[in-house]
Amino acid sequence: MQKTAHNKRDDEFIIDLLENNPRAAVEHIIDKYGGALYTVIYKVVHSEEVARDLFQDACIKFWRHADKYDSSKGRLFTWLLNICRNTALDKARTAKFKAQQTSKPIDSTVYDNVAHSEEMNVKDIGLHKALTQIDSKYQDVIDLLYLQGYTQREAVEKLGIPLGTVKSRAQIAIRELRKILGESAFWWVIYLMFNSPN
Amino acid sequence: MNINNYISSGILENYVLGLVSESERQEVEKLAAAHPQIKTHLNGVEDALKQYVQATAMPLPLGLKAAVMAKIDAEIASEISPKKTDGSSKGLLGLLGLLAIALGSLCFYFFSQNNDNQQQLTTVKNQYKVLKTDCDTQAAKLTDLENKIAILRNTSNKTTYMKGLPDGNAPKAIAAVYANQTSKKVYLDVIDLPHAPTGKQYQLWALVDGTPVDMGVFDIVINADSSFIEVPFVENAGAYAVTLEEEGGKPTPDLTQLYVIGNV
Repeated sequence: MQKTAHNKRDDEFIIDLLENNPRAAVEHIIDKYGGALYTVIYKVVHSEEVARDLFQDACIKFWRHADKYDSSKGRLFTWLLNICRNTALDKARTAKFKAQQTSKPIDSTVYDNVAHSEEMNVKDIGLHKALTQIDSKYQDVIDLLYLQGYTQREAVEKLGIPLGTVKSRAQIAIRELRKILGESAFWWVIYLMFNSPN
Repeated sequence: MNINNYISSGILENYVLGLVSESERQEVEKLAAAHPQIKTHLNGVEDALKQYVQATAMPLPLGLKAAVMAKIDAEIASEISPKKTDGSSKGLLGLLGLLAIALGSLCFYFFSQNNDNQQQLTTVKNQYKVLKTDCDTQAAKLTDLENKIAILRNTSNKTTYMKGLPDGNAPKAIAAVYANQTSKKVYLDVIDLPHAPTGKQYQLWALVDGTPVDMGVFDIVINADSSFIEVPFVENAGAYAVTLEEEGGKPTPDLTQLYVIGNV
């Protein structure tokens, strides 16, 4: 009889590995969260070359500081996200980097490297379509604060809206997200997956 | 303090996004440690944001994973290499002393050169091993994906999605059954099910006129992409469902352990 193995999608499994076999933990982290973490870094530096290097640096940090993750303080993904974000922000705030950025064009598409895909989860395609239905003014707030690590003050400056509006948009954005990710919208996601124009 | 009011004030959402003051932050952390309801809501917010990021994320660029693993292996290799020793001997007086130093330095030079080469060789060997394993894994993945596509593309397929009940054991779980009406080949696709605890196994059922028909037990495997599982063809299935049973399964399902269900 086959022995039941851990579902590698479980964070618990990865957290165990961080303690006992950090190299394997990093491998599973990349499989499960690689795209998302790379995106976080890319959205700060807007250069594939730089993002690739920083992603490697961040992964080395996961491996080297594996014993520092404490599950009582928060989710695994949040820990990984913060390491990636800080690695990217440290680089972005250097004078040398700033000087190199003046002539770069501004990109605004989410999928910059579709041709380079290694793996796209079927479930995520439908979810992506559903989530991009959220009004862009809410998505912008989440992007700036959660992905790119802007502070309150920086977000107010960048968006040109008062702090109160930033806060309320953030709350609404998350509530919209949780509605979409909830059960009631599940069939809508399936419908979108099979009925979207190609 | 009314917990529900606190939660619906939206301060927890702002906390996760870093939009609160230092004193508000400490207050949230203190209250979350004291009230499980608040911690659960916080987890829900973190999870929602995580799912948003994952679903709208770019794909990981090609070759980046392999590059990372090679770098880690290089770090591992360099950490276990022998430490260099200082070959310079203590100074002896006169020409003999100079000669001894010169000879010693020459030996040290050749010794460290050899160490460097050994290190490089080990690093390259490790990198090769890593790349080869990666390559083999990708090849196996590719074959598996090609097989899956062939199954999914079949025009005689009838597809049934089974999903978790909103207040059930796993509200977010999803699985699918692809049943080919002409060839009578049926496949189970485990899209997202939580892992089964030791001693238990998942069991698939077909519901024919409301009566459950056993379609066998299955495990969730650890491969990067779990393969479709071939299951028996059941005539006139009206619905499919998955329950969690004792290892080996049972002749009739335990409906309190229902995980996913879907109508054909």
